[in-house]
Amino acid sequence: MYGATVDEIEDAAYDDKLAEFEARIARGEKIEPGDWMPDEYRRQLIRMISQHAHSEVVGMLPEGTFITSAPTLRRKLILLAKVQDEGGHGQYLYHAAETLGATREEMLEALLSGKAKYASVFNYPALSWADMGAIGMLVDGAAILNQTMLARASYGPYSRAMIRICTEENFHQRQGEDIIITLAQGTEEQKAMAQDAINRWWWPSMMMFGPHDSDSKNSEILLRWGVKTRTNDQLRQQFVNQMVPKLHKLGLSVPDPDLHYDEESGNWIHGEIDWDEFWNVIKGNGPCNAERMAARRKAHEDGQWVREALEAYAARQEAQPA
Amino acid sequence: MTDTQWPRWLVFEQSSEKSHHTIAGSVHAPDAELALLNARDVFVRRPQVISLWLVRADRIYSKTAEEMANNPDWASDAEPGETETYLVFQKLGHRGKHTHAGEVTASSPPAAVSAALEALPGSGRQEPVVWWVVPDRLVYRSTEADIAEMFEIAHSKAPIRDQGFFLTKLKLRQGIDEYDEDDHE
Amino acid sequence: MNDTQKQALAAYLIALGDDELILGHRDSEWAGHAPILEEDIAFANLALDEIGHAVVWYELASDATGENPETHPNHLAYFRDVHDFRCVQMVELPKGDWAYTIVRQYLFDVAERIRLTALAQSNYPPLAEAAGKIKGEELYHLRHSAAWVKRLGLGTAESNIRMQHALNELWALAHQLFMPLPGENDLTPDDIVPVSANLLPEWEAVVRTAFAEADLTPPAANTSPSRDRSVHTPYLIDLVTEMQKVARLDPDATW
Repeated sequence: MYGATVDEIEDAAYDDKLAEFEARIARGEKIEPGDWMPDEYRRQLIRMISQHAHSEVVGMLPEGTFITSAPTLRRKLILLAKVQDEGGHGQYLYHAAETLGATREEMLEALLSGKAKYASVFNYPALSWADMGAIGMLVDGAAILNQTMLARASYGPYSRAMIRICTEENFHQRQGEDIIITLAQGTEEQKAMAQDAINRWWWPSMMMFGPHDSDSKNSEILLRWGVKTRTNDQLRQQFVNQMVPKLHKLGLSVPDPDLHYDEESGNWIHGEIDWDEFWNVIKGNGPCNAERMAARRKAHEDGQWVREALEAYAARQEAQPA
Repeated sequence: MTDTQWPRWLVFEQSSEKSHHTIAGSVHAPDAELALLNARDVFVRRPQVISLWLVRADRIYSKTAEEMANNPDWASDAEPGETETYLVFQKLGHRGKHTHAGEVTASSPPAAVSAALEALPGSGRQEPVVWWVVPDRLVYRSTEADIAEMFEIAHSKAPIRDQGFFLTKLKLRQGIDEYDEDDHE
Repeated sequence: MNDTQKQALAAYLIALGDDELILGHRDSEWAGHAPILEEDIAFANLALDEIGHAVVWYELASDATGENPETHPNHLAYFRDVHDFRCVQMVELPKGDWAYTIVRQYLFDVAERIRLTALAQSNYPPLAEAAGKIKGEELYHLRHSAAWVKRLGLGTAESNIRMQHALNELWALAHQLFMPLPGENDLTPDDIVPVSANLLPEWEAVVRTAFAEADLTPPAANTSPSRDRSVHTPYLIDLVTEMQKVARLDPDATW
């Protein structure tokens, strides 16, 4: 079942409304706030969009640790601009979720209490400068495939946020590739650094596409209602096909002994993903879950007096006669 | 203690003299001046803006074409208030974005939508699918002076996000670019 | 300009660049840790501007002494010994709480605006031109930090106390901005740069008015603990070590 509530089923018009809603999606129309939508559509979107927003905001942290030690002034400016963009993308996405009636207070509360999820990939540590390259190339590379698909999502505000993000995100992957290319052409130590970073970020990036289609409980409904237009496994295959030749060209290897090219399908076939690790990190046992949440909580708590002070100031200004 | 993330302000951006103000997204801010500064930092990271308008999200009155079709009496409970100027934003067609379409004079938000349906019916092929109205007095606008002080300066940072700012040796870069192009076939 | 003046100008510009680079470094530490998402983005913007200005000053310093403006700025940032930095102590100190960050930024932004206005009149055209360009961004910073000073000063009892506390700590330190910069005395006779001390009255007038409007009072003591920009706090050592640690893994490598 698609999560229709009892009230809705009792509503005689519900089936008609649902049919019309699905017909609109089939016609390629965008659903806007105010339009009729099934509760489950709203619920799934809020879950998905807020998770996406949290990922952007938590995603500022691993790269943020290297802003202060980027090895050239140019790299420092580029990385700062990138981390700033991530904050901006978080903003665009919270906005899209807010149009569905979720408040940012609620969404942050869900994040900080551990109820809401964010991309598990950010629970891995950034250990060396080469990680800035690997994150940009692999993590952003994976994200772009997902975001390009979501730019066609049936919900108008989500789709618009994604279109804006996609036009900005290319720069992110570019700067990552640029770092990896530079290191891959550098000294032996730099090459080793790049390879080490690729080794550590490859599998977490592969996991970003989510569980296999057969294990993805939300996929069917999201596809049916035009939120997603491609499955997790389809996107993952596209990622592998894109990345493997690039890495090989750079003289870097992919840490997957089972990886091979399949002439018939033209696909690079990857080995099995360690799903135990995947679920374990999702459950909060990744190497950096606690650290990331502690950082967000501290920022939130330390900022409380600031937010209150400005609210108090604004309230007093409004109360004063002009 | 309960958290506050401050009220939400919708941000409308104008990219050139020829274009109209279009929805960009929203920012949270305690007041209009900080909303303008925040909107600048969020939405003018890449220079494409000559003017920003800010409106508290809860001051916008919204009707979609679908809502009005499903409930023909939608305007019946409007309580007339002060007659004033309303700004009208329309989303034209399903691919469109909410864009400033003009002004109407009305005594309530629903009346403003009704007036806009008459006065600003859209352009044949592109039917409005969403209507937003807001009293003109509730719109906070960047000024002429802000163009130099807030928007034009963003140009100096544009190169940071440009490919030219990267370093990598051309040959390998080209190799990868060619690969990317094949990929997009 | 004669050779002495060229050297003097380079020293002066490097000091200005160091102020911007180190303050930009502190600003960048807020990215991901600010009180609200909007300010994560705003402070990344500030950091981008400040570090961008450091690059402009370093490039100009390189030009003055015939160094390569492509590579020399990186050398200045990454391969100078910490004791060769010439920033004021105020910008070295840890970022502190949000009130401390805002007060420091505001005190710096006003001083910067006044100095840039003077530098835009420099007899050395490349300097005048660069100052004119940077000034636009500094005006925007000032608008942001001034808005925050007012709101936090008048917000709640707690925010007012925190702001007052930050002002007490920073007020005397800020006066170091008006001590002569390295090279300054060789440059002022030809109106290449202003006499720093002459900028102080306007700065005082502006910031005192703003603090008064925000219900904040600068403390009586206004003598900078250090006149000399070669004397640093221990915090600078940590900051510079952090900043240089990747670049120094292999100084000959391309990053």
